[in-house]
Amino acid sequence: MKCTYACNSAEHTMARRQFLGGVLGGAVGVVGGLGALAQPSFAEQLKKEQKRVLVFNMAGGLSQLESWDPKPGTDTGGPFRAIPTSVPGTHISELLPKTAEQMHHLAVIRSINTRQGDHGKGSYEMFHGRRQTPGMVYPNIGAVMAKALGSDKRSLPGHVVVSNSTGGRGNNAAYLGPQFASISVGSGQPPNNSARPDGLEEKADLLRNDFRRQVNDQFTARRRTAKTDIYTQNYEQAISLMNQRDVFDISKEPQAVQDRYGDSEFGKHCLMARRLLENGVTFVQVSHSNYDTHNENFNFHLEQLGEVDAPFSTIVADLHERGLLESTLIVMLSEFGRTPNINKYYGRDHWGNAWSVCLGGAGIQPGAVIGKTNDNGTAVADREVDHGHLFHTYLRAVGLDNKGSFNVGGKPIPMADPAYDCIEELII
Amino acid sequence: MMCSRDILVSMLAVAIIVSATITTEAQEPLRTQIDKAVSASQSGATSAIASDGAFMRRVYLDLVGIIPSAAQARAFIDDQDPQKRQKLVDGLISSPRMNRNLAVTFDLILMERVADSQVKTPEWRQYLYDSFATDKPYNQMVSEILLADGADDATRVRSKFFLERDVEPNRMTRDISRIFLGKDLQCAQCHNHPLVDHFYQADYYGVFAFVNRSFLYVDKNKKEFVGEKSDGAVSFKSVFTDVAGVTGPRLPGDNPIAEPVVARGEDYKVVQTDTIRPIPTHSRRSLLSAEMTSGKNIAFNRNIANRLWAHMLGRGVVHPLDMHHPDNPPSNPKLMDVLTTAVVTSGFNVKTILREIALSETYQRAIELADGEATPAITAIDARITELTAQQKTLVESSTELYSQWEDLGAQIEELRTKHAEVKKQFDAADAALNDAANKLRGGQTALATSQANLTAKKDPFDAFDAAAKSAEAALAKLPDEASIKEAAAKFRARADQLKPEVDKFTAEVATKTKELEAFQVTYNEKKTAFDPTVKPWTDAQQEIRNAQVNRQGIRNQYDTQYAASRLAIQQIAELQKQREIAVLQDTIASKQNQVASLMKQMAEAQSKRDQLAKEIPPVEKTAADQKGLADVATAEVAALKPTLDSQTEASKLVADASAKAEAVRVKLPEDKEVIALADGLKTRNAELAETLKVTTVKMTELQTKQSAATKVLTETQSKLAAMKSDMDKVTALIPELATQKQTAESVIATSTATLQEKLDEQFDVKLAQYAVADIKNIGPEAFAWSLMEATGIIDAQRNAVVAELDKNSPLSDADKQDSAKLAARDMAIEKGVHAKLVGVENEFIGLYANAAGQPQDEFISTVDQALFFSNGGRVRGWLNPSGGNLVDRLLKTEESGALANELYLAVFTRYPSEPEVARVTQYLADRGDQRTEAVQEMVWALLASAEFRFNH
Repeated sequence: MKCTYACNSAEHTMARRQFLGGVLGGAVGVVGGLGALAQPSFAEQLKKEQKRVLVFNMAGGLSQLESWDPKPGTDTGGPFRAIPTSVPGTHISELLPKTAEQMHHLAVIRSINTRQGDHGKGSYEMFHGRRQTPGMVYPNIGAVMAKALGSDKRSLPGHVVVSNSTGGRGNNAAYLGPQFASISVGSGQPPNNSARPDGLEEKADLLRNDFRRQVNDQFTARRRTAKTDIYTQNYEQAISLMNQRDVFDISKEPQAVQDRYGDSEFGKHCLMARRLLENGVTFVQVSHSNYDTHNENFNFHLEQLGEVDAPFSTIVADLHERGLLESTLIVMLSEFGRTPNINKYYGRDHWGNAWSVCLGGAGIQPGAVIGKTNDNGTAVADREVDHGHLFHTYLRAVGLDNKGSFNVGGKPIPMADPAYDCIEELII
Repeated sequence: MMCSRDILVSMLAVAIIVSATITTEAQEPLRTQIDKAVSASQSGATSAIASDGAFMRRVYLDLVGIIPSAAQARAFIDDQDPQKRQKLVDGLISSPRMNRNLAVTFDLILMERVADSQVKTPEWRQYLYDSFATDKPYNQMVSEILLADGADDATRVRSKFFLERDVEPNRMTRDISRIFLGKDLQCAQCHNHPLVDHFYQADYYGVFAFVNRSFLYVDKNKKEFVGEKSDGAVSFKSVFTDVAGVTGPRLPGDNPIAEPVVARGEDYKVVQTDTIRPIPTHSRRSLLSAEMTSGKNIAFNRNIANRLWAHMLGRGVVHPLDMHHPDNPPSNPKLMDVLTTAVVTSGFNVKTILREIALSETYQRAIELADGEATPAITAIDARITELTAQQKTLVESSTELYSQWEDLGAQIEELRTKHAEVKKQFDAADAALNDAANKLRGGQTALATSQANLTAKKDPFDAFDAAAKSAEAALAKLPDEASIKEAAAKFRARADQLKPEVDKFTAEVATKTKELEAFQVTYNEKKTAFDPTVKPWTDAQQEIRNAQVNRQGIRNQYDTQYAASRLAIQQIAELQKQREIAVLQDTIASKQNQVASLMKQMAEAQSKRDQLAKEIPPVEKTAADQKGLADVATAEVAALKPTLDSQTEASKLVADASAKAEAVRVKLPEDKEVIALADGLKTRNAELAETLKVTTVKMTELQTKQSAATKVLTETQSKLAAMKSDMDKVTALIPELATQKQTAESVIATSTATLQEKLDEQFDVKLAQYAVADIKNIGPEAFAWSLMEATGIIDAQRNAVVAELDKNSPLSDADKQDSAKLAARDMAIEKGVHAKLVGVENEFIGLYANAAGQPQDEFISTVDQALFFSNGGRVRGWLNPSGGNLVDRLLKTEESGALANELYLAVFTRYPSEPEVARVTQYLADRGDQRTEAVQEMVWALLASAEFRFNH
């Protein structure tokens, strides 16, 4: 008797109405080719209403000891020092000096125990908040956020992976549908088919779209459904997107800004991420690899984090200055951490038993440090959490009901694994 | 308690009667049964029958997965034959594209676009195509799929269902439950379904037990097969409650199955090697096929009936399609029964069922409701709510009782298990010992076979050399000096001697292995002898447990039935309450409308009264003024006469007094003349004065009467005037008051109308669920691609090419053209040729328009990148270039804009355009001036990009 079917429920009707109100209001604005996003108040409104998420995937397994949880002077600590940060009492690795100056905007969780040392499984768990089960496919964090934060109402894709190639659609939205799956966007490349083809004049495009609208109106006057609305709206969103191609071009940024993000691929991706977020993209993922440092862990981290420190601290500061940080959740995660034990190749191996994640922005207590490991980092000493708790925390941070469910074809499916809950003390 | 059992018994009686009725009604065509069942569940408005064009487009998309061409549309719509719809359906059902569309539809249901690994999709679809082309019953097809293990190359394609799921027991359990039984049991894997009370873990593991012995067998050439072992028990434990259970194979809702006990050593028909997958003597996968597809499994039968219905109507009687369970009862139980029965009696003939559905009125409804919703009276609704509430209460009581019985019986079963634990232990021990012996026996057999093979490999050449040596030696005995014979004999002997030790070694080994095998056989026989007597006690014990389980399952099925009925009652009550709200709102609106009407009437009356008074008052005012003048004159006259009258009265009184006194004197002095004269004089004077006074008094009276009359008239007039003025005041005040009341009533009407519209919108969803109005359906990527190609005339060109090719390579003689079989074969060849030429386009659309692999493929997927592709991509633009009689080419050759509009709308929308639509086309052409080609391309694009084209309605 607990089971209530959300199909045809008031909730559903409500959402549909909100959708119609919100989107079709926008549609009126785009008739005639004017982008809805050209409205001057959009950025302001965006700051207030829309929550966004930026995930840095440190592929291969970032060492917590060379980043968020240094143990200098211990048998496991390695050669690097710990430095003070802008949060009194909080120290991080000296490999992240500029990030240290931004720590009052960020928080660290140092007590993660996922008991997982497999790249594929670890990555799945961190991105889905659940363990893999045969026969069941869940949407990843990007698809969940894109769906739950209503990205389908906007013209730009809601779930973007900034990468080296443009155009691919990821298979990561499971039952939420491909409209929430990731779109790969490379540096400076707008999505496929977003340019008007040769031989089609702008005027002709406007005329044929007006004709299309007239034909649609006639049909939808007979019968209008959520599906016909989404379908007709997608054409208007496409027109908006065509007018927003510049968003994907980082060369439109002033040279001084480009210089701050630097010339590295990661720096360019960060700048692209910022442009996407401030133009209303709900979820952006930037990756950096490879941290799988079974050999020469220290040299690798010195080099890799040297590339990360400036762009990462710049985007945190930029989002803060633009007033977007309070509505943008930032997470820097890996599939797991690295062993406290240093192997004979000066490497560290796979380690899921006591590692860290850095996060901040929307809904997250600035400057917080959650949990701790023992003196040489070989075990969690306080407030043990895993991927399930983290997933709930991300949802709550952006104002979602982490115990809520998606209505999937009339069936409720919990957004996050119901066996877990959020890290309450980290939430503002 | 007895009471609720009695209720239960009477309910069961009702249920039996109901199912008996279904059987007797089965003589009617299914389409009639469908329409009856649907109309029985409806109240209020339904939609009209869809137009010819709408029907044609819908039935084409549903049956053959493509829209009709402009020529086909024109011919059908213009056809006057009253039987034309049935003829159209029959034509489509027997067309080659019907098989093509069913192959795609069932591929998507069964495989959900999971990436190909072992069997390619085109081959798999060909298997489905051939199955439908030969009218293979659906249950037989499913049975073939469940039984296939991939070993036979001719039927390997059928093993795709399992192979692409890696023969992983959890995936198989999930998909068998979802796809064939309509029950998504996934969340019950770890615990009883967290969101649905009635999906029990035991149900999941009951299905799991059919497939847990199956596994992905990979041979030494890395080729994959479905293998199955002879053993593997299933037990489970809830992650939440620690409640554990064991189960044998059992389908949800069915009883546990008595399985044969097969002694180890006899448990494989085919023993596994590195080149061949094992086949157990007793196969649980075969058991699954037999149990599910026999026609007796209700869940299996209902599932396919519901899926076929949903394919045509866009919505299952049970919806979502994989949520058949008591918490989600069929929206129309009678309809569900009618369809399920028909599926079974048709022999699981998919085309028969689809044909009947297509011919029902229910299928042919339009997408919009007819105007004028007639709602039943509130009292009638209330009576029905009361009735249903009482029914629901009874059902809850009786099902609660059943639930507690079910729980009690669970404990009993556990007791039985405990009771038979020792028997099980003995059986398990004997079984394990026998298994061990059987394995050793098999090992011994393999070892002996290896030794024998080794021996043969050496002994055969040895025997040959030995025989040759012997012959040579015999020859040498006769011819001792022949050097060549001597040499041959020596060489043959040498070779034989060389082989001899190995032959001896392997001979010894064979002897050893034979002895060992004999020993294994002896051990096996001993273990078998020990095992045999444990079988019956264990079988008997299991039988006892199973009897208890069957009993318990019976209780659960009763519970499920009653619970489902109570859920349905709750839903119906909720719907009635919605209907009641609508009725109340409609009543409110009606009564307020009456009130407004009455207020308007009152206002009109008041207005006219005020007008009348405004007219009447001035004359009365004038009269009153006149009257006042008269009264004033009369009063003045009275006042003027009064002093005269007073003095005359005074004088008369004095004279009378004097006269009286004079008379008194005269009485005393009767002779006194003076006195007499005086008296007489006074008397006369008195009389004179009296006379004057009398005259004056009369005059006064007259004047007073006149005054009084005038005053009275005046008073009357004034009071009349006052009354009129008061009326005027009242009426003047009333008019704005009425206006306010009217405004209030009108605002109630406005808010109630808005609320009513919302409720009616909600009610629309109920109407959809009742099939009172047609739903708008998705068009899948394949059908969308083919329909686009049909509309733009791409298919026509290809078809002409294929026909020309066939006519050239294998022309039909005049006799052939009279032979319906040959014509049908030609049709099939043409369809096949066209399909082969254009099937590549499908993939482009699947990539953009399909749901992700492994997700349900009946979802409507709409994305911005689709719109970008459709607007700017090369594929669609290419189709709009005028060439070789395609749509744009045809339109450009059509001079007259009305004819152009007709062809455009028939090709894209399967209907003639309306007058305003023709006008719009004409206008567009005119506006674009000499850019006529562009204008036509733009209009074709706009129509193709519209919702009317994108959806099946």
